[in-house]
Amino acid sequence: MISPRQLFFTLALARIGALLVLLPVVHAGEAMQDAWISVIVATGVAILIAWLGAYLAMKHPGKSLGRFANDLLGRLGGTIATGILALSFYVLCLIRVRLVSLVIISHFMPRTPGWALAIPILLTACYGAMMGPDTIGRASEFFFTVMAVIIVASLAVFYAWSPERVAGLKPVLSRGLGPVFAASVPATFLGLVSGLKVLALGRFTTEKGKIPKATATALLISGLALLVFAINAVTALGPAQAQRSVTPLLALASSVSIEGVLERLDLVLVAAWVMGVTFDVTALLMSSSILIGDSVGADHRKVTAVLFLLGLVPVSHRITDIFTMRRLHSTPVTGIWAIVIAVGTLAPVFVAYLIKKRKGGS
Amino acid sequence: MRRTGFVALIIFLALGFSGCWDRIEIEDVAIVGAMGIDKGQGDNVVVSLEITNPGALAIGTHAATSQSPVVSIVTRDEASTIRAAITNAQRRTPRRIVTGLIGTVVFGQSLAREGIGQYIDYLVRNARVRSSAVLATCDSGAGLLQRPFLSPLPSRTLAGLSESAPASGMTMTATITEFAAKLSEPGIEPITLHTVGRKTKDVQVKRQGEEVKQTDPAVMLEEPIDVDITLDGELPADSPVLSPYRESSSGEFVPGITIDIGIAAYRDDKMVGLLDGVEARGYLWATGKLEEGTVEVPDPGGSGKTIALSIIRSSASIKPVLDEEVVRMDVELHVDLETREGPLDTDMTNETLLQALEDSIDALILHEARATLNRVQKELKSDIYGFGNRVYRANPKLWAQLEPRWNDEVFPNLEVRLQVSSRVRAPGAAYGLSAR
Repeated sequence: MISPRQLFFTLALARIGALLVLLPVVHAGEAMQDAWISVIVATGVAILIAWLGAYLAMKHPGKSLGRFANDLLGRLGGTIATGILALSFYVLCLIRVRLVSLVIISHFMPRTPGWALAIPILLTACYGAMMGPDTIGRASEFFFTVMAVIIVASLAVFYAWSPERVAGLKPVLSRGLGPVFAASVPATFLGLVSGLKVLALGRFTTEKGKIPKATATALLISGLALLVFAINAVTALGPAQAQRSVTPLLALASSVSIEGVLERLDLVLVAAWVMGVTFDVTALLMSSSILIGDSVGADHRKVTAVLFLLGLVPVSHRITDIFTMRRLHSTPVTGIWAIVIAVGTLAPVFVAYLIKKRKGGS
Repeated sequence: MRRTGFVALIIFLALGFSGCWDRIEIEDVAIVGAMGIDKGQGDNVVVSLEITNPGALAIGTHAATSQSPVVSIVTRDEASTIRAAITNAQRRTPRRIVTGLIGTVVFGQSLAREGIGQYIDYLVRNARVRSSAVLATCDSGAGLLQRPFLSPLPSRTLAGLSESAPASGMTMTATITEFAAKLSEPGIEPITLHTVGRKTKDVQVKRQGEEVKQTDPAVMLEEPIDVDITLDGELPADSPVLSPYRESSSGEFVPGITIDIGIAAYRDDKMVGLLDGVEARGYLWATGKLEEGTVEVPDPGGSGKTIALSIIRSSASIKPVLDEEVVRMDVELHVDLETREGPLDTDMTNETLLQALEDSIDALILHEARATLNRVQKELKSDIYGFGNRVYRANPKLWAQLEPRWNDEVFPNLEVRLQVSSRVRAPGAAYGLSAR
């Protein structure tokens, strides 16, 4: 079992780790200087929707979505609702594995084949997922602290030694609200998926009453980190340059060199990112396994092993190459994906829960 | 079972993360310290790479050893892209060329005037070139790579120069990141450090009647470079570019160590002019980026001598005034100074004299800032001050109207009100000395 505090660390660490380098609000849409507003919008919306998931988890102690969806919607409906979310977790897990391996390769090891990094990361995630939520929860406390120290130190270095800040954050909403909302969609989706891990991990969480607060706080803290990252990238690189960069924060970090003290800040960030993303893919794989296992009545460890084997080809294949990544994280794709999760998973389960509650069920 | 799995995982990870596919031993790499990029034939570029020889650096160039005493070598290759030129260089280099430690990238003027956007893209896109590398514009990118000074390596000379030269108060540096950011940001044009090298075709010169090679013996050039440079009258007649070797008092010729330094102004990705010496300082006054340097003003006490003051700090507050019909910039400059040198009898605590001194400094700063501003506005027509960016931030809709004609029409005629407030904060270590 994990405590609400460990649930918070797990959710926050996974999201910060994933966002540390990618900055979806900077890439998507044309928010430009207003990317910071997109972060606020995305964080707010993600918290609202994820809170529904956390509420459902709280109301079904000892059960994951895989079980209580079957109870509420019947076997077929429950399997479909669970399957949508579990598949989303799994696909995102594979995308992240491929992405981190490609970024490392393109920046540092150009002649290393993608699979040589992707498979060890997936294997690590598989091992972590098999260890179970208890181990992951305990590990999250340590890794979150390490990550927090690295981020705070990096930000201090950014402000003290980074290049002249060419761009400012003004003008606010000069392009209207459209681009701001468009840019917030991918970040909302990613936040939403991060938060909805609670539908799997909630089953293992003690003090059920604190689950919604832990979930919302995790999204809030990780949203704050994203806000600071986005402001840094936009003001130092300029919004257009930041948008063009595959990894804006790495681009910014590679422009910082403190003679005799810290020559390669980008390496520090990459190390933190690899740690965070590995943790994130572990949590995604574990959540997916728990949901599928609970839905079909199988041990989630066995499901993890199957998912690992199935994932070997996609993470090694160019179908998930870096050019595809941008499309997968685009506003239309993530928007539709978020709607599918909201309409296909959350809405029917929540409505069924309300109907059951009105009828006098638990 | 768990323990077996854990051990298997560790072994697999150790194999996966060993970096076997990429391994390059240190003795197998050719480390590039600086890169020069010049215009070649047609649309080609000439890429010069200063490849260092760490072994020679470690043992010293004069040690009796079998190690080659050459601390660096400059390769020169022409191709249509930088990447292809580096690949050409690799064909003749027995070690793998590594660009990850490039500290300075020097663009030749001829190329810079035609546009360097594509080459900036190479530098930004290439994850193995650090974005913290300093950009410099020189008469010839290759020429600058041949001139070591107080350091055996030209690249270290360049890197040291980019760190120390701003202390003169007559230049400032820009990294690849800063240049690229200004290229993409509306209403602000990029600049680079500008250094003046010497004509590289003058490799052989006479010293006391004898033909000698003037480049540092520790640095070898694969072949003489002959780059034609059209300076368009940008440089003064006594510039070291035009007369690269000056005769010293001992009668020997001093190799091209006389470095003139300033700022190269760009418009978009094209260099439009140079601001050297006091002109560069005029730009730095108006942007509040002057943190060191020396100011000389006549002694207000009437001695006819000069008082030297060092700049402690400066700042500039730039406020756009945007009425319906008027676009104006109000620039307030604040400068703190300290007295460094003056006539013996001048009492630096005399308030009347101090006020007169500050008035003189105000007038000097105003003159320098205004002179540079006039040239940049009327001649260069490139908003390197970022006034347009201020308009954009304050009123995006107005900026959208002004942007198409900003550099050509609006900026050259922009009213800029300069107001200077200097303060002599300290008299140095003495209030004054009495002459007999």
